[in-house]
Amino acid sequence: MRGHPISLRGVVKSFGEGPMAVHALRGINLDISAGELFMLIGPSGCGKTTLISIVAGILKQDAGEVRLFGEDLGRLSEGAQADFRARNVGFVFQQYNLVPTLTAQENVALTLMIGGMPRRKAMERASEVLFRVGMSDRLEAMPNTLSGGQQQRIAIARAIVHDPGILVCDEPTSALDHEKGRQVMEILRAIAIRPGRALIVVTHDNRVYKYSDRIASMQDGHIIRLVRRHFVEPNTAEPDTVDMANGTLEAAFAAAAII
Amino acid sequence: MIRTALTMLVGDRAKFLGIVFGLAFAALLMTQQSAIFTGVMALVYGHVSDTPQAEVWISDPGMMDFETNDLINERELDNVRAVSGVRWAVPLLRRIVYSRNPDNGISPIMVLGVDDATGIGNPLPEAMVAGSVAALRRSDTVIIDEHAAASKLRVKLPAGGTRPLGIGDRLTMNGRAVEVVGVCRSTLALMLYPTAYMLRSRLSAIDAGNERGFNFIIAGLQPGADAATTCAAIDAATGLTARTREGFSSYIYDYYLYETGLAPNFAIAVILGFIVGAAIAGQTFSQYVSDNRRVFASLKAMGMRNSGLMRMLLIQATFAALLGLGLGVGGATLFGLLLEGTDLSFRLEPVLLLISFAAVLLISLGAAILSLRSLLRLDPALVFRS
Repeated sequence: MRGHPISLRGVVKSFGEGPMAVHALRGINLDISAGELFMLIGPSGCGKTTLISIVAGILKQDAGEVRLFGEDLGRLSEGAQADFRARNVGFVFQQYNLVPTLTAQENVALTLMIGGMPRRKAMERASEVLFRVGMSDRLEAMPNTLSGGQQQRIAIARAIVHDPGILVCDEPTSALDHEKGRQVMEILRAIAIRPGRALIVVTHDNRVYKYSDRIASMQDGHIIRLVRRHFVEPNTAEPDTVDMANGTLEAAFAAAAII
Repeated sequence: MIRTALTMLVGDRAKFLGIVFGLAFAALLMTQQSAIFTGVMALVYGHVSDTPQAEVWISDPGMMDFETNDLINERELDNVRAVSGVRWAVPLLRRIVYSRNPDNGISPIMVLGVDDATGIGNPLPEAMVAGSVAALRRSDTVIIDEHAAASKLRVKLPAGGTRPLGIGDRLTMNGRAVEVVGVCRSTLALMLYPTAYMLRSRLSAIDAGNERGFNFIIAGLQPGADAATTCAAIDAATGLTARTREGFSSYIYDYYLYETGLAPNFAIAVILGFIVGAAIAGQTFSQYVSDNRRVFASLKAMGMRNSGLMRMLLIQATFAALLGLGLGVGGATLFGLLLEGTDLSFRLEPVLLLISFAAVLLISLGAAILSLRSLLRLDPALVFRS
C-alpha cells in the first residue's frame, strides 16, 4: 500500500534571503486521497501557487518531504523529475497554455509524444479523449479559433490523456463566464475524477466550491482551515449540505466539520 | 517530435518568415558576392588560360599583373631561345589601342599581337565563332572577341537600332584602318576592354610611336625538360622572370588577392551579409523563443526534458537554415543567370555552396543556442504565474 497519492510533511519554502525573504510555505502537512477533488483557496500571496508547484514537482521545497505515490521527489534528479511528471502529472492552467500553432488534437497528443509515444498512436488517443470532453468535432481547430471554454476543455483533455495519477488545475474557471466555468467543472468531475487519481484545484471562484470534496483555506503560508464535504450535484438541493452557492465561505467552514 | 517542432515554428508565420528572411538574406549576399569574386578572380589570368600552347611565361621581374608590366627588350627573345630545355619562344605584345568604330564611336581595345611566323597566341580554332585565324595573315586585319562584338562594339544603324560588329566591318585603330576577319570566344579581361588579336608586326606598326619591346615571351618546353629547371635557367640567362603556366596564373591571382583591394572589398560585403543575416535571424529567433516562453515552460512542466527542448529548437533552426539557404542560393543562382552575357562575372563553385551552407547553419544554430540558454534556465513553475 503506497498510501495517499499526495503526501506532504513539514513542507517549507521561502524566496529570497535575509530580512527580505518571503516565506511562502511555513510547514505544510497535507494528504490528498485518490479519487478526491481537493480545492485550495485563499488570498493572493498566501502560498497556493507555491504549494501546487511543489505538488506538481516543478518546484523544490526548502525543507520537509513531498511524496507523490510514495516517491520522494526531492531525491530525484531534474531529469527523473521531468520523467515522473510526464507519467504521473497532468496540468490545467488558468490561461490554458495551449500551443497556439498546433491543432486541438496535436495539443492533446503532445503530452503523449513528450512521454515517447509515436505521433500516429498519440493522435488516435488524443482523438478519443477529445471525444470524451465533447470536442470531437474540433480536432483540427486552432486554439485561437476556439472559445475560452472550448480551449479549457482541450486543456483538460491534454491533462488527462496520459492517464496521470495527479491532476493539478490552476484557476481553471477564472477566465470563463459562469456557464463555461460550470461546464468545465462538470467535465473535471465527470471525466477527470477516477479511483487512483488525486485532483487538486486552486481557485478564487466561489461558484465552483460545490464541486470539491475538500477545501483547504490558506493564509500566510499555512493551511488555516480544512473542510470536508460531500459532492452535491449542482442542480440538487440538499438542505443538510453546506450551502456554498452564495459564496460565503466562512459560513461554509463554520457549518462544516473542520478536520 | 520533428513534425511538431516544425509545425510550431512554421505556425508562427511572422517570426518564421523573419528568421527565414534573415538566413536567406545572409545566404544570398554571401553566395552572390563570393560567386562574383570567384568570377572576377578567374578573369585575372583569363588570357593565360586562352593560350594553352604556352608552357612558360616570361615577363619583366617587376610585373604586377597581366595588364601592368614593363616591356622586355627584343634581344631577350634570342637569349630565351638559347636556353637548354626551351623548344620554342615567341613574343607577345599587349597594347591598349583606341579604335574608331563603324558608327564613329571610340572604344579602347586591348590588342594582343601574336607571332607572325608561328601564330602562337592566336585564338584556338575551336574558339573561333566566325571567320578564321588564317585570315589574320592578310594585311590590316583583326579578330575581335565575341562578347565585345555583341556589346561594347555594337554598331549603331543609321535607321536606328544596333547590330553586333561582324566580319567585314572596319575599325580605325590609331588612325589606321583594319578589317574584322574573325570573331572568337575569349575570356573577358579584368579591365573589361574588348580583346582583339592581330599579328605582332601589324600591331607594332599601329603602335609605332611608342616604345618598342614585348610584354611577354611565351615558350614551349623540349620533351622531358623540367619546367622549374628551365625557368631557373631562363631567369639566370636573361634577368627576366620565367614561370610555368600554372605558376604565372597563380602569381597574377595572388597579386589580385593580396595586393589589391579586391578581396577585402568582397570580404566586407560577405561579412556584412553574415552579420546582418545573423542579426535578423538571431533577433527573430530570440523573439520567437521569448514569445513562447510560457508554452515552453508548459512543455517543461508536462515532463519535457531539457534535452527534448534542445532537440526541438535545433530541429527548428536546421529547418530554417536549409530553407534560408535554398532561397538565398536560389536567388544568387537566378542573379547569376540574369548576368549571363553581361560584363559581370559570376562563378558559383560547389565550394561556395558548402561555405554558404556552413555559414547559414552557423548563424541559425548560433541563434538557437543563444536562445536555448534562456530555455534551459526557464523555470517551469512560470506556468502558474499570471
